[in-house]
Amino acid sequence: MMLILDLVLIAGLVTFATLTLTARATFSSIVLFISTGLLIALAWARLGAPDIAIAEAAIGAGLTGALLLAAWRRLQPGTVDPESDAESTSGEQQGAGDAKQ
Amino acid sequence: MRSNEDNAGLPPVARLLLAIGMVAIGLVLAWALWSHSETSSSLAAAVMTELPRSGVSNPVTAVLLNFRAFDTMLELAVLLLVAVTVGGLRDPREVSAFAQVKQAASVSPLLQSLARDLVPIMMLTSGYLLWIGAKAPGGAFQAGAVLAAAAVLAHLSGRPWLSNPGDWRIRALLVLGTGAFLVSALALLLVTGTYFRYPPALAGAWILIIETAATLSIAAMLYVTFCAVVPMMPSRR
Amino acid sequence: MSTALLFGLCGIVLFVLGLYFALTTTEMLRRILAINIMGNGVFMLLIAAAYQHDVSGLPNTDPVPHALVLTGIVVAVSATALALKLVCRAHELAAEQREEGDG
Repeated sequence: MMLILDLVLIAGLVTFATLTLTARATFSSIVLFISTGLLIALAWARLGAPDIAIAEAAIGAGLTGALLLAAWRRLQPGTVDPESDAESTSGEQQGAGDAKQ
Repeated sequence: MRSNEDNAGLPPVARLLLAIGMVAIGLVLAWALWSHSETSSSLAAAVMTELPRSGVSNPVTAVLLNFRAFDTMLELAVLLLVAVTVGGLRDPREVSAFAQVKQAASVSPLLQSLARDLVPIMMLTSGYLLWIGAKAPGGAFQAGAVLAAAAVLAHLSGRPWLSNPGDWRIRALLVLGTGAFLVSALALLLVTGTYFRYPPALAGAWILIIETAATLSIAAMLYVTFCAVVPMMPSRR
Repeated sequence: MSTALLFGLCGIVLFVLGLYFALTTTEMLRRILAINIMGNGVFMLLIAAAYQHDVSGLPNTDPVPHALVLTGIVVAVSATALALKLVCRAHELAAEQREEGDG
């Protein structure tokens, strides 16, 4: 019974990792990576490491996800640069700001 | 493996060779794992015999904060280095934009109410994890991560805890973790003659103090790097 | 097949997958993701090695690799943050240069 659960968990991990790395859109990649992080937290719990499971759930799934999504949004073409947003506004930049939502 | 320097748009042949190389590496690693799967090299027994003298009953915390405290100190130094580097990479003009996040009229009310309810709970959870780390799974790293997540949530909901990334208070928090380890090591050098040998009677309280400092430092560092990466919100809609 | 061996093999698969995509992809954000997956594979190998049963069948895990992986996770997230910051900064500087070139 445990063996089946282990195999399901491992298959899920490998599948999610492969999907993360092969997804077309970078955004889907990031979301799949966050899901992989949650599955890895489950794997830590299975392997008798609850300390690491807590840390992974908070960091791997939470903070890394927030960081990656923030960076992704910043790297979008047409994103308002912080300095240009602070100092100059034009219709084009307003449009870019709206498009981010 | 040889072509990993200039791989902008690898030709299919190179990709195929690379894939074959990867499979070979995987097989070698799997063989190594297989052939060593019977040999046992566990330090669990050593940790368990020393555990009563460490001041805490959670073996992972004992390893992190007592047996291998030097590692943990250097790890906090790595975090400090990252925070300093990220600060050095900041565009000087960003500071002015930073304060404008405060207005944040664009944040959805749902996120605002979620943050209002969740942030205090997350702070409580962080304190609990820090306290329980002595006996059960938990500790400085988990508490710091949860605290940083609370800060990130507050930031995203338009109420940043930090209005200026160069604030002296945040800098003090960043060095607090490494500083606490260093001060404790030097104080112990004076008292007991070695850097990281805590007197068993005081070890519990000593570890809790250092862990608190480490928690605040880890949270500050994670939050500062998040602030450096997060795009500035458009201040006007 | 013991649990430790299974998860160890899973760690190796994750490591190799991450390495392959880190070397072949050209997009920076994806490369950072691949390196993170590689790191997770290494962590899984370590934790699987720490997972052992004593003679009575009770789990008898080794806390030293756990502590190593715990610090490793925090260092990995800070390295990721640094890499993301570098990528963002390079992107901004390239955009500024393009603007100067245009104007």
